[in-house]
Amino acid sequence: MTHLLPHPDPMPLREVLRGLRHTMRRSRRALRETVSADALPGPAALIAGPVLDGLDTLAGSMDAAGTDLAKRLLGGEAHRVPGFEALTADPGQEEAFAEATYAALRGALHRMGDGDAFVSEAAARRAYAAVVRTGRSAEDAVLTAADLALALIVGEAVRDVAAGPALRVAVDRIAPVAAVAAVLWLLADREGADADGALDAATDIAVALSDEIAPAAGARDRTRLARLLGEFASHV
Amino acid sequence: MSEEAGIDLLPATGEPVHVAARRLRWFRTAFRGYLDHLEGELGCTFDLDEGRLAAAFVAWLRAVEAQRPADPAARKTYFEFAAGLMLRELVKTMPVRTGTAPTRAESDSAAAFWPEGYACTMFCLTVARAALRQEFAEDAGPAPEALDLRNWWSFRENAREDPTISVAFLDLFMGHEPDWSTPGLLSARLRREIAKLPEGRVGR
Repeated sequence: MTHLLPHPDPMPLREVLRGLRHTMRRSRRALRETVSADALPGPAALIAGPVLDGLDTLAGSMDAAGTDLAKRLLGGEAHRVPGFEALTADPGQEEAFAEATYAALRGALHRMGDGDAFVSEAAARRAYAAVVRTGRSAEDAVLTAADLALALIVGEAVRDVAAGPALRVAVDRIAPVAAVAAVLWLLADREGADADGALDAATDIAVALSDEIAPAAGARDRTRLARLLGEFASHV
Repeated sequence: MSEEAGIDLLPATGEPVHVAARRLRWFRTAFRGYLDHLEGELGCTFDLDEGRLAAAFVAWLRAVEAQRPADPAARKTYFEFAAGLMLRELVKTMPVRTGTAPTRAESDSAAAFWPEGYACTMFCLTVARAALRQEFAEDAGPAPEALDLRNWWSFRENAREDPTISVAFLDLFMGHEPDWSTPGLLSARLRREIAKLPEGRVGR
């Protein structure tokens, strides 16, 4: 009799690799911004130049590997993301939810001006586990969506956002606005829509609503967030 | 631009135009496509700020929802009014900037005088015409007033102080009698229309 071992959950490994990728990306940017071999005295520059070049190459390779990995793991999944009802009607869809939310948060962050912020798929899973319960009625969809958005915010699914001129909202608003954008995208009718276009639209709506999202998220006000999500879910 | 050209430029959709227009992804694609066409026609370039466009869209949705009439008989008036509110929010937010000035527009045309305003106005007229054609089998091209440059001088000047006047100018360009005093109120427009009905038709 053959005993099959259960497949190990690949998510923790993904999370670690993404953490490494994130660190390397940030480090590479920091090095470029703070250290210039040209500014060093001659002997130091002779040593530092190749070291920095090597680090840059290493970081670049890691970045490329990480990106390739992400693409392979996540490639095309946005087209297969089930509707919000299917994801949250009953527990058991945490993997699909977390993968979709990860992809949506990455896309939203990129559109908001910091594609290198860290996104935690594990935090998305925890948010799902904390919010989705058996027996929830369909009428509660927007409240569930609001709870998920808050759980993503509280659980720090988005971390280490870098301030910069490219950001479309204040740095301390990026995480809540991205969380609302991702949940709005999941909640929206995406039938027949190209996934990127729908996610960009959800993100742009969330950015336009950032003055309302930020205080609602800060106050952990699920009712206000649910009202916003319900108001705009059919307009993505 | 030919009368057909504008409507044909709108993205295909399986939904009624008035429903599709209330989805940002269609709205943005339609607006971008319209600008692309105008760039070729006018010989200019436009820069579109999609963030500003989204802000205008969100404000427009809220404005039209706030004045949605309960009476189904007011639907056509509401559609026309909604187009005016769309123009108001675009003019207020102005998501378009002219990169290079038009080289193929007549020097005394609205397009040469105010390219961004012209683009926003003609887009709103086009969406309104598409929706009205679909829902009410009514198709009227832009009124002759839309060709009179003096109207555009007035429009640009007044809209700077009060973007809501855009609603009245869109009415003018659609061939309707504008409400210059309360252009942003659907209820005032409906009262005016009821007052114009022949006696005995009110309340039917």
